Amino acid sequence: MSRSHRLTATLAGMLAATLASAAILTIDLPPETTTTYKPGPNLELVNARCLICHSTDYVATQPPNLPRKTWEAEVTKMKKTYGAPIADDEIATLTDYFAKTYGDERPGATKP
Amino acid sequence: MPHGFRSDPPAPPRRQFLRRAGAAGLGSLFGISPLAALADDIVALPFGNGERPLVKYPQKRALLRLTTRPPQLETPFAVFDENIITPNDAFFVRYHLAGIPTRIDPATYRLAVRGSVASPLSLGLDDLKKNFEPIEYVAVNQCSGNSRGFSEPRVPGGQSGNGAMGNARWRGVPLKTVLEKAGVQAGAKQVSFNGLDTPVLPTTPDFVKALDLDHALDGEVMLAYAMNGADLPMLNGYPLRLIVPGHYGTYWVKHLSDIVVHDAAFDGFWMAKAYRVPDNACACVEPGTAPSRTVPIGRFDVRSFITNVADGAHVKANRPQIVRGIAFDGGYGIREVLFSEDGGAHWRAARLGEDLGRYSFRAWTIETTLAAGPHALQVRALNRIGQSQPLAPLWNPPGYMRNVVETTHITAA
Repeated sequence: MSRSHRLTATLAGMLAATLASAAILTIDLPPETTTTYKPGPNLELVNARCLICHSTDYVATQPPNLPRKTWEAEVTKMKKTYGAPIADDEIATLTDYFAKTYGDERPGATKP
Repeated sequence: MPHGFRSDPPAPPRRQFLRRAGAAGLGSLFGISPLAALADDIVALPFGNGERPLVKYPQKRALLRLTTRPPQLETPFAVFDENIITPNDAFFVRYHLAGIPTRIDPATYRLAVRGSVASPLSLGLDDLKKNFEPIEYVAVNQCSGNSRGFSEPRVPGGQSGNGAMGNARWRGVPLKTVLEKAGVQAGAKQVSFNGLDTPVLPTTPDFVKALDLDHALDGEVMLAYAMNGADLPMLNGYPLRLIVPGHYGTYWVKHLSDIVVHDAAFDGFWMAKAYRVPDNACACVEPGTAPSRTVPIGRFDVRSFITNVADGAHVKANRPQIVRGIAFDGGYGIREVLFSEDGGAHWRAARLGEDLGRYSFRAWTIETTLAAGPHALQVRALNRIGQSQPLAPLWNPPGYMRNVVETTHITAA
């Protein structure tokens, strides 16, 4: 690069710094580290339906002893409110999985 | 273990306190460890399934990660003891829908203003920065579900500790000025706000929020392009965010791109079905029951926190020590902060710090000398219209608006 080209490049850089807000902002999000729910009944269906819109930590961070009726309400909300592609007869299957794997029916859970 | 934060004696927080205590001329120390570190990169919030990895996101320091897709990040509580202004890289992050923008060109970014207006607008960032008189103020943003993890009985939802809040200096354009330029038509009722984040599925309701017209025209609601003197971080809504001071973060729409003036109440899902609280003075119901009527969530209630003493800490007896913290409310301003060393039997007024405006965190400090033995430290704020904090927690099904008087159990020896 010639001296004059370097000068031009430097001036362009200074101009870009002055107009900092004109720079395109790009971010790279950290990768998802867990891409499957915990082992349990009908895990394949759970992974197929419940990884479309959100990561597994949405479930894993829920209170440890939520009852079946709460999980049923959540699964139903995902279908009816958020439009998740869950068939009517899958609501019971998914509810059963969450109650037994993350809820108060899981092994070792303390019932309130 | 009582609610609050577990004790722990790590070196960095102690050093941090030493520096500040030295400046105050008081050498005695409280152990500060608002968050229990299970490992270098895991924090345990004091409720079931409260383990949170500390993860660094773009433009952010390591924050407590609640969820990955979409990202929800909580501010480590120690940050609130460092500065009354929450740094941009520590400010909490909350999204609803996983289609979040990761690349934005400010040169082509446009804000539409349309609906019941005389002249629809399409504004660029430069328009907003150059052609409108800016305003600036300090205001707290707080998630409706901040502290949800402490709800008892527990409720489903984002299980935040106390770090889904932050205080920043916002700069931008009054929404009022922009709406006046567009010319709101007679009979308009509400104004809705949409941002660039989108649902994954077309069947999921897009995240759109609304304000009554008189609120939108109050001159304070702001279209902010700067946060603490810099561009907003992407994850906090770059390049433009709606600021609704005194009101819960659900209204602070990020990556704001579309403003619509409506002739009727906007009835989108996120107003009509979500972010609603019991329609009564306490926004509460008997634990485990459902409210008969609900309304959209609104202003913050009054809150206060001790920031330099951790639950379970061991401190020196019979020596003067400084306790300090923060208080805030929904925009009336903090009038008084009361402090108790004996679980609420006696209260003393704390000294208030600099007033950065009625929407800001207000710092407070008080000196205390504790006899040997256990002590329950409590803090309770009152605002300028007489609102305060309940001594026992209030409850509602979504786990919103927690503002119980916080108690910190410590031992002096």
